[in-house]
Amino acid sequence: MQDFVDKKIVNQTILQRIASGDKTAVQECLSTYGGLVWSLSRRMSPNTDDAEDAVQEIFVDIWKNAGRFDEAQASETTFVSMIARRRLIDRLRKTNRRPTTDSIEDMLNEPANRFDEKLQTIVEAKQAAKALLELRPEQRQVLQLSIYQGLSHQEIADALKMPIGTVKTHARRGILQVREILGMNNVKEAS
Amino acid sequence: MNEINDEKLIDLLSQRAIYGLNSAEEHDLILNYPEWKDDFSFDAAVSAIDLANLDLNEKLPKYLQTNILNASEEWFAPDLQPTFSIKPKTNWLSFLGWATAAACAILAFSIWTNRVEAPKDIVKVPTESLNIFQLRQRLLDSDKNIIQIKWAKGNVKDLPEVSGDIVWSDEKQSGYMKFRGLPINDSSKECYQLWIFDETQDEKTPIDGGIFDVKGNDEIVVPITAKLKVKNPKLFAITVEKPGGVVVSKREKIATLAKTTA
Repeated sequence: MQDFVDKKIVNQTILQRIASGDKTAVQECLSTYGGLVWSLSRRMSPNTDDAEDAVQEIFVDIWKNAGRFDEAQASETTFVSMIARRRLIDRLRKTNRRPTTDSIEDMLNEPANRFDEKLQTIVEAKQAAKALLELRPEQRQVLQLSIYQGLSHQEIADALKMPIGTVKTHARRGILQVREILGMNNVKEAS
Repeated sequence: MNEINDEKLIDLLSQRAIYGLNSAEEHDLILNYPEWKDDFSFDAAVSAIDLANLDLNEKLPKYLQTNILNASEEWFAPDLQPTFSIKPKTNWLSFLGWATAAACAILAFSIWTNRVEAPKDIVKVPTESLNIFQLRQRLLDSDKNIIQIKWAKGNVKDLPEVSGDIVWSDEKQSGYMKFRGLPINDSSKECYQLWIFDETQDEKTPIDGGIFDVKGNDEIVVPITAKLKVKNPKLFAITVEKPGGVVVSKREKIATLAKTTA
């Protein structure tokens, strides 16, 4: 019986274990996704204090929503990232604050292959980077500025001296293409 | 559901995934595209794009891990989880524990059986409220060189006197403003903006410390969001500006200011 239970636990994902009340999975969740959540929080928060609070809120969100994770629809990494991003966007919108970012010039001058340098640990990140490299350079640039830098479409239009309609089109088409390449066309119930 | 050609819909879903939606946009999505409100494929794609740029070697600091683990103790407290103890439970407290467990189980079952239903929007899940007063106190306690100055009168004659103070840590590049008596502003017409005068910047171009609104008469604490690194600040000034703030203030309306004695 114990053997059966152990096997069952082994076959469960971290989030499934958390959903079933397995406290030991929390430490594993922190070890596996702590860095990812912290990295996102630091980038999308106006200061470190805010990032610290955000991380704690995000993990509570993860525990609360662990039962909604469906591995047939998205990977755990994607699920955790989505929860984190939503919480961070929500915090930014509520306080009308902007994350601290590099200058637009720095971002625009970065080499296009910057993606390749950072993605060695998670396969999904590699796949995403690969998908990004399939985009047109201007689509990739717009997505970089909006997703990584948090710039509004208008700010991107100003920075790139591009009509706002074109910026929006690049963003839309870029996301659609990544969604297509990564086979995410049918992800429902994110959390 | 996979095919998507409506530009407005794509715009809404992209917007939601990158920036989040305001209530009007959310309403628009729910009203005009009800079958898409539960689609999170755009969120998944944007999250994946985000992953591609993250420093995946970064580690969650130990102290935060400890805090979260401690918090998890409460979250996973036995009386909140379904238990299968063979010992009979006889008192009301334990009955409540069982009732809670049963409710949790019913809720879990309900969620499971309604998986195609929309999640109740994760961003709306009630969360622990940010206790900004405690954060301010923590900063005060953490840095012995912290600057703490009381507010003094600005140049707006008919403005009541504002009490409270500003605390700033150069070391942590973090600080808070505490106010009582700062008038409620009409956020559609104006906002408050903090300016930090320090030794790195010319007096004509002080550092933007962030904008904020006052929505009530109670004491408030506002975090400082300095746009540049601050070094040895000499003066903090709160001006009244147009919504969204300005890049350079004309300093026509200084609501209150705080000057170091040095």
